[in-house]
Amino acid sequence: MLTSLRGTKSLSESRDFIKALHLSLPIFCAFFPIGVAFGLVCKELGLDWLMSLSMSFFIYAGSSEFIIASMLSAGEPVFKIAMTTFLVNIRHIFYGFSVSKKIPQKGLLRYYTIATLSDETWALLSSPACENNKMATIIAALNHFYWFFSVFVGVLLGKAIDLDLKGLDFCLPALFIVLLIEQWQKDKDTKLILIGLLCGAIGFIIAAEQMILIGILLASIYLFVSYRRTTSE
Amino acid sequence: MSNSYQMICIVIACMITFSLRMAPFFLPEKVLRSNFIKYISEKLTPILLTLLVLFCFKDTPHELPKISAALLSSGLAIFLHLIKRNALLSISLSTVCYMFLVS
Repeated sequence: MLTSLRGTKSLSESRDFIKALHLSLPIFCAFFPIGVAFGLVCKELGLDWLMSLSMSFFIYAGSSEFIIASMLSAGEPVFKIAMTTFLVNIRHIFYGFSVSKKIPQKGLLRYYTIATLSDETWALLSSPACENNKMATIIAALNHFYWFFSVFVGVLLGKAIDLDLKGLDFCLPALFIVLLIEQWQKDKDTKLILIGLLCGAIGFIIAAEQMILIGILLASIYLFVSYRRTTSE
Repeated sequence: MSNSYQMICIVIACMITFSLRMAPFFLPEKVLRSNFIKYISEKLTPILLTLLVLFCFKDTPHELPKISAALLSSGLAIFLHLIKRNALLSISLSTVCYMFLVS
């Protein structure tokens, strides 16, 4: 109703919003059980609810928040927490490159979109379904909200929860599988998936907690060599 | 374990994460627009997604029923998505399958 009053500009904006909502809905399904779990874990660790909420809002990097929460409750030194955060999140250095065209070129929205470029947001932004800058920011904000909301619910539920959510966290790998297939269908380059599996397996054997970092390093070496080969031919 | 200690840690962790996400944008445009970066970002995407899938399973207990549940449900997700190309359907059905298998 409102859109018809405001004309075509807001019509395309609401279309962007609906598309972004549709695109990001699986992320909500994936975030919800993990966010609730995070809220519950924080309470068990004895952290203040204000701390778990500020972590979910300001750090907003799923897997590292669990690690930071447990280190906080153990009273680990600030430096060690900083180092761990850096290592667990270092993969984010690679995310900006591939989606730089989708991110707003200037203003606060640019910095907001970059600050909230989590694994899942990056994955959606790199998909062709994300059509423009506005949609990218809406997706980033929706995902940010989903995570914060899920942790909030987890904090509220506290110890009262007796639901059996076992296995619900499978929606996260399922989401990555779906996004991977969408990527694969663009050029059917199966070799890259095999390289990913190989690099991940090697990383897992060397150090399971750092498998993404090791995997990225190995994959970068492979890509560097294969790039040199394509240019020298 | 004071609140100010926790606050300082959270602020530092927030700044580190933001700097990491910001880092590629501080590189000169020449670097960002080079063929090399184009090549890397294009080819790295499927590899990174594969790594993230593996990362989700890294804590799966080394027991046959748990591993086969993860493999079966992943197979279902792949199968459904190749046939129907409906993200919500592939994710929800494979998750329900996994929950059923591990319960």
